[in-house]
This record gives sequence, structure tokens and C-alpha cells, in this order.
Amino acid sequence: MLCERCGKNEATVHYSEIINGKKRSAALCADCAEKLGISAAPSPLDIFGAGSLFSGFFGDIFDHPKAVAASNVVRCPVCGATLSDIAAEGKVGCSECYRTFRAELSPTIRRIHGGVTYKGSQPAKDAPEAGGAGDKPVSELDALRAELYEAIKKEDFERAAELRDRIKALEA
Amino acid sequence: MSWYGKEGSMSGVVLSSRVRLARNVEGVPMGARLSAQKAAELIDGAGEALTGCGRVDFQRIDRMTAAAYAEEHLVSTEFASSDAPRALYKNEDEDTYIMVCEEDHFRIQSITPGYSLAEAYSRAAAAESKLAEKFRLAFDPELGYLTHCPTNLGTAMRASLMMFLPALTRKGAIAPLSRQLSKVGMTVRGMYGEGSDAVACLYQISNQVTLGITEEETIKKLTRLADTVINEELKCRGELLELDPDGVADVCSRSFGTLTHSRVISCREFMENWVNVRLGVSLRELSGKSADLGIPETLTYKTLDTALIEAQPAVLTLLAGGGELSPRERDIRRSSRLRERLGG
Repeated sequence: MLCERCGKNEATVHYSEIINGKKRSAALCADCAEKLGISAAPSPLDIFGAGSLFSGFFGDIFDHPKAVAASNVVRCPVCGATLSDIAAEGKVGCSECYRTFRAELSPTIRRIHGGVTYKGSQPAKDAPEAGGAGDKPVSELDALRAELYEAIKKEDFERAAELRDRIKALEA
Repeated sequence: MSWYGKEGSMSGVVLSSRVRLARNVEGVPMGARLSAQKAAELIDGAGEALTGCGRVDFQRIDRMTAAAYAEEHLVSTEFASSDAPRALYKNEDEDTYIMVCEEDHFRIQSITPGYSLAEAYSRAAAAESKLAEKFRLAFDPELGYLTHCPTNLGTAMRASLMMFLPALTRKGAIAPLSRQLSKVGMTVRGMYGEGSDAVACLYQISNQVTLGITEEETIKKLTRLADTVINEELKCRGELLELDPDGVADVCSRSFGTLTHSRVISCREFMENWVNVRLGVSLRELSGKSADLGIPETLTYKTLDTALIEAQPAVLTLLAGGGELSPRERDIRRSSRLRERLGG
């Protein structure tokens, strides 16, 4: 992919920002990124200027070695959010983000809540499937998501992209 | 009739109890990623699940009406002022309100009068069960209910009490109380202004921790703390009356006079005097009705709390017919409504 600004060099910096809920992204080459004052170094809190009140929560996401390599690549199969999006906004894009980025989000969640696990009520067992539309079998979607999660863990992004498309098609 | 128009227990200190549950639907984007179509599906689906509830489409009501809901503490200010598709469902008893497409897909909120946290929780849980029959709620065995913001993970429950603490405020005891509460995972915040500028002496005390503690444990813990705060406040009120009965009677009488005899009253002046009158009603109770504080015996907390809500700008404007009012016109309307309410 070529840089969206100069159209000459290979884009190596994938920049996105969310301001007041509006998302803007750009793929830039290192030169253009530097000219625009966007650091190509993995220090997203600088990139995002810690604009969100809660963005600090996720500062330590980027301590996770995999996160730096994968943050611009892996997208949540349901909402399309990347780890950078979540860090910038301080909020996830959907419930699936917690599964897609489980390992990366864990340190943050531990920091907010302490190293505790859930205690409390459980949702009703006979609840309908995801999305509440009641028309597609939940098991297939769930199985695909589980497979996608595995693919992401193994960093098999080709397989992940394929699975993501199938999930999207099923949900459409 | 909402919480402020009903009698509750311990109303001298606790105006209302509130339990809020945040819930999301599995596989549906949240916040800015939620499409208008998905939002409409959630809103309509919630309507099917919440049988017997009235629906208010917040995109179809004017800003003033939306702001009035926030002033009544029935919806969040963010929900009232948003431009996104969103709706509110309210039950017939007017104690449970479900915001659809707030920060989370569903924010279930039960508000009961006085000191009644367990009741508020059971009502919120009942509404949640109805939604769970229709939607697959996002849940994880380790993280609990999955929320838009990770700070709410777990029970995703905020239990809170709206407390009237004039004696503790005057004693300067709110800051130390706040520090103590934060050590045990609870928080206190001023309802109308912060810290020493909390003119109405109204505070919301609520849990901060949502992961690793059950709903019941949270409510028990909050109740235990609130018991201590209530006792301290009542002790300080007793001291006020004991130390300077004439001074207290003077302040209460004058404030009642201001509320019932003004012709133009600002929101701030109203609240400053409202505090003294509400405290007066409580002190009369404490003294076994022997103290003469210049306040009629028929004046109840219910009337005063209704007056507090009616004095807020948006509610006041709506009560006056909904047309745009200048600040001065509002101050005049506030004053005439007060005289009507409190019998001046």
C-alpha cells in the first residue's frame, strides 16, 4: 500500500484518531508521517495526545510486545476496532474486543480492578443469540470467532482475515 | 410520580436510593461504532422486552424536555444532551428507567425514595431479566458484564444514595469523609457543585468497585457505610440545636421567610435557603417536635424535594409552559411557584 499523502513511498505508519467519536485514519510513509509530526515509534499516547479522559487507562497496552507489532493489523471481527482505537478512546468498540484483545487488555484491567475475577449474578441461561435478532445460529458465529481468536494468537493474519470476512458475511 | 414525590424511610438524610446496571448486547458495536440501524433495533427490541413500559424517543423531544429529565435525575446529562438515536423506557410505577443507547446499550436505573437500596436493586434486576429474555447480554465468566468502559466491568452496577448532609458540610467533614470512603472502594460527590461549594449540601455516595464483589455484598457494604454517615450527620444536627437553639431557629425561620415571601429568587439563593428549611424540618423531628423553628408542621420532605426539582431551570421552564424564559423571568417564576408550593 502506498502512502496516502505522497503516493510514492510504501505506507508504513497507520495512523488513526478519534475525536468526539469521529474516526479518521490514514496510511502514511515514514517521511510524510514525520512531516505531519506523527511519530512512527510505538508510543501511541503521544500520537493520540491523550485526548480522551480515559485514554491513560490503556497506556500499558503498549507494554505488551505483541501489541506493538499487531496493533495496526488486528481488528475486532465484530466492530473493526484496533488496539490503537481502544487506547485512544479509552473504551472498547464492542464486547468482542475484550476477547479479541484479551491478552493486551489484561494488564489494564488488572490495574483498574486489581487482580480479581468476577463474582456476582449470571445472565439468564436461555438467552437468545448474539445481536438479539434471533435469526442466525449462534454456534456457527461463536465457533468462527473462537477460531479467529486462535488465528490471531498464532499471528496467522491471513487466516484471520478470511475468518473475519466469513463472520461479517454471516452477520450481514 | 417520580422518587421525589413519594415518602421514603430516613428521608431526613437520604433523599433517594439508586441502582444502575450497565448492560450490552453480545455482537453489537457500542458507542460511536453503533450504526443508526442497530441502534433502532436495540430501541425497538427493548420495547418488546420491557412490556408495560412507556417509551420516550429522545431524538423527538425538545432540548428543554430532555434537560428536565436530567434535572429530575432520571437520565444522565450525557444521555439528555446527546444527538445520537436513543430512547428512554419508564415503568408504570415510575421507579425504573432504562436508557437505551447511552454509553452502554442499556443503562437500567431504579430510583426509590428514601433509604431503600435493596428495593432499588431488586427493581433494576427485574428489568434486567426482561431484557435478558430478549437479548444475549455480553458476559464473560472472568470479567463479568462487558461494558463500553473497562472501569465498569464486573457487576457493572453503581449503587448510590443521594444524601443530605448540611451538618457535616458545615463542620468541614466532607473532605475527610471522602478520603475515608475512597479507601474502601466508595466515592462521594457533590450533586449541585463540589466540596465546599456544594450549596444544596446534597451528595451522592456510591460504590466504585465492580469487579470481585457481588451485587449483594456491594449493597451491604454501602449500607454499612451509609449507616455510619447517617448517624454522624444526625449527631452533628443534634449538636447544632443544643449549642445555639435561638440561632438555629433564627436561620431556619428567615430562610422559610425568604422561600415563601420573595418575588424574585435565583437558583443559588433558593438552594441556600432550601438547605436551612430542610434542616429545620429534620431538627423539629429530632427535638420531638418541641423546637419552634418557624416552619409549619405540615411541611414535609416530599414537598421540599419536589420544590428543589421544580426550581431547576429546565423543569421550571417546562412548568411555565415551555417557552423560552430569560434568567430574570425564571427567577420570578421560581419565586411564584415556591409561594404556591410552600404556602407563602
